[in-house]
Amino acid sequence: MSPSNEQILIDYLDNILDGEDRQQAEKLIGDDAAAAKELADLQFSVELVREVGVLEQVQEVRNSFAAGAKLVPLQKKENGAVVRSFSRNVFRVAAMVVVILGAASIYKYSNTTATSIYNENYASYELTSSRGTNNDGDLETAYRNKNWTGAETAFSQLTDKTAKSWFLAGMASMELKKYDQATTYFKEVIKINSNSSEPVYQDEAEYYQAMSWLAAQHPAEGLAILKKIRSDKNHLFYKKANAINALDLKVLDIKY
Amino acid sequence: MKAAFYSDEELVAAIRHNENLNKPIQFIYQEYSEKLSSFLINYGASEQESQDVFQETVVAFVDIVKKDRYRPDAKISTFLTAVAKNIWFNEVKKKERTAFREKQFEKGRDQEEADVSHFINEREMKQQMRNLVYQLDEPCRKILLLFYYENLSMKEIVHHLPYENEQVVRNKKSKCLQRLTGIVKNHPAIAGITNKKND
Repeated sequence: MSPSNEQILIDYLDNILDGEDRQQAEKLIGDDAAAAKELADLQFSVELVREVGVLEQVQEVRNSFAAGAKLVPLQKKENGAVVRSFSRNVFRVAAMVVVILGAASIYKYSNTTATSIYNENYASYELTSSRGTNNDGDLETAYRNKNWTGAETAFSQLTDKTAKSWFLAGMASMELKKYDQATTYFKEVIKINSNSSEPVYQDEAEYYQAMSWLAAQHPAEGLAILKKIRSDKNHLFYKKANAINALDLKVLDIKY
Repeated sequence: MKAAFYSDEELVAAIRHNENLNKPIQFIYQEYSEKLSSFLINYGASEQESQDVFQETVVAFVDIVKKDRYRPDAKISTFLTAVAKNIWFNEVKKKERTAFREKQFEKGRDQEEADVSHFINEREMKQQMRNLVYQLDEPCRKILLLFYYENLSMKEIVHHLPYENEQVVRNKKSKCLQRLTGIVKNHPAIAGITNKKND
């Protein structure tokens, strides 16, 4: 199967083709048994992904249930209709709310850590071909291949280390869970950029430095950077930093 | 959390129409988890096992309803009980528990329960297959889940993941789907199924 036909099948599966393109895809599937089989395989994979989605959603409910966030049952009549008794006075409801909020707060407080925020929000950095024209040779190749130790080695052999190479080495360290090392490397990116008229990988280094601080159990340092990014609309990672649960950050701020 | 109340019909409709799926799932946990867990514990499951089986029961039920394969011949409680019993029975068989325990279980397999055996056989295989998705790295899994499960657009995914633009996301998503398909095709047990499906 050629890559272009494979993409046509995926687009067909995603239902984004119309007109002539759709007809072309249908012809391909109708005429070519291998294409029809490939489409079935792709559909099968999508079905698996959807099942994993259900599984993860059920697990999420299970976890919150296990954490004690019990639901408030409603009374039922014989015929199944819901009865909300007027006799439930305001104090009962208020007490219940206080208990639930209290339990939720305790749960949130005890479960929110720098590591939990890192785990929920860290996503690997994908190096795209559209990014810049410089090629750091072996380092970039190793990075693209997710060969993190290879990237480390290639970086150590570089004689002229650019902001980009420090950044990639920092990300490779993140993937290798060498968070302190990653932090040092990101600092270098920022240092190089401070003496440059054309800073590169500055926003990336700042965001991932915040992540590395969190992972390395230095929440105060990580939070300070995240606060800065969250208030800077022009920052490349503004949306990503703001996608981090504000309550989690608040809890972390209080804890540390 | 406050539980919404659903009649059987409303619960099926809510799952089928994907209306904030967390709520119907929460309702199922609220209504049935304790009852069914005790029931499974009576048949030799540990607390952990009973919760795992209940989780798998809910996944199976949601999947069956979403695919429009649920027929309301019996009450949902009866259906869930039958699914849970069968899943647990298969677990017992797999783990080759003592003959005594199986005998006890067999006694409990009454004649009137809903016939869910065909769902269960299929489920066993699906459980294995789902694990294949976890062979993908996390960014791949995330992108596929956001697109195919959360139904987010490429534009929305750009906001969730550190990719530069929609085209990058689209390419990455295609590669991830191809990678997963490759993993699936290479799995000896699965290869047979997909071939059969296409026959």
